[in-house]
Amino acid sequence: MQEHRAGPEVKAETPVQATLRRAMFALLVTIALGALVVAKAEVYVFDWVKSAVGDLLAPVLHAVTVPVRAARDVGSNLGRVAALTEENSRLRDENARLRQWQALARRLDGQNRELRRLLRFDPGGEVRTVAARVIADTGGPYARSLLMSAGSRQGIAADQAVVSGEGLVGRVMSAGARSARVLLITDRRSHVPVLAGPDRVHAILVGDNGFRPHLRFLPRNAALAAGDVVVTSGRGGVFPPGLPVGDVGAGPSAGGGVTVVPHVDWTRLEFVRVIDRGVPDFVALAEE
Amino acid sequence: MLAHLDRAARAAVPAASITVLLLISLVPWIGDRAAPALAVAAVHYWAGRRPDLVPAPFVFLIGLTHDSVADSPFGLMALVYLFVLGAARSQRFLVVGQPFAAGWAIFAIVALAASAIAWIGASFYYSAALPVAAPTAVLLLTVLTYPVVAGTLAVLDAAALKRSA
Repeated sequence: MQEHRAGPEVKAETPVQATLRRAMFALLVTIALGALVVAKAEVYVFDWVKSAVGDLLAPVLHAVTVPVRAARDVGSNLGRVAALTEENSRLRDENARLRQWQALARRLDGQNRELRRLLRFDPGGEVRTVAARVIADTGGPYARSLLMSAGSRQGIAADQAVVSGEGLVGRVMSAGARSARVLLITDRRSHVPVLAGPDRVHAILVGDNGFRPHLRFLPRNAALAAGDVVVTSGRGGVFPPGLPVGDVGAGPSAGGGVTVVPHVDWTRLEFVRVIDRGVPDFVALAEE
Repeated sequence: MLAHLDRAARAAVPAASITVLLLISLVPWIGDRAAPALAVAAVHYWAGRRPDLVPAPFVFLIGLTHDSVADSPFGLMALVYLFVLGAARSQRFLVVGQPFAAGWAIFAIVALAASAIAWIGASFYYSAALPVAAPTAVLLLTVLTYPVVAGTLAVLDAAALKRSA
């Protein structure tokens, strides 16, 4: 390759120009460090900047997403062709098993409806959902969030739950006019009240910016095994109860706790659904 | 007039390529896994070859844009990009005029230092020592994809800038 040969000569700077350039550099470094310190002290102070930049870049990111995703899909599909026969056989077995579960689910659903009718159970208010395309994700190690192509104009607001076809993705952190940021359940700022295992023990699912969040505040006698299902408990009012989150993982977390393998396949997350339960803004109500 | 426009367009190539690579690295192409920091490689490349066309305020804004879209602690990536710019400018003799393998190794060292700064900054922000697995994956991908990024930018460099030089 040629690119590391001597480059073009750059016009020499005068001493004054060099001093000004260095001063500007030092000033920008100081501003960046200052921003980091201020953001640490007051986490939400720069949220409006992030929302504005997200809104501004949303159409561009949307346009870039389509060809990049198409190129990625071609690559991954070529890899899958080779394993098609094996996958077909596995899917048939899985289909047979799922049919048994479907029969059981139908029977239990009928039973559930009948019991609810007998108890006059109120399932809660109407739920509205908004679908959106994922237009940017961090992919970075210091935050697990994504930008989606729907904002306050589509009725998106902070603290609404976000799901995919597989399970819980996270919650809306902030909403601009035409884009919104979703805090993923793997982010270390994410805390989701959940129920784990067949005994439905309460815990809080906490992310660590890694790939597997872990359970905190588990009862001492909680008996959980790998593969046990974790669902949202509904406590706190942000997440509706019963949303599938993941399965208990096989190994312990870095801190020795219980890890959870999320159901969502992050590598194929293209569209998400936002759940608007019409929960009133209690802060606004209190201020009235 | 046309010559002026032509010169301006050519001079905008480094900034434009850094911006495009930043956008490509931010779109969801491999999901919530590690993605290479393509713009870091581009800043390193251009800051070594055409420091006059990669001003610090532009790099600072690119960093803040990265922080805003990627939701990283505000100011963190701005700091990282400024470090890469400063390192390439002050050690320009190490970036330019070296055999490719040496240039690649030097970029690996710069990327490692940039990654360490980002990790320290993020750990300070969260008041906790963050896991190193994800930053390590980003670092490896950034270093491994450098030949592709540098090769592409070298073609742009030859087509747009050296011809006009």
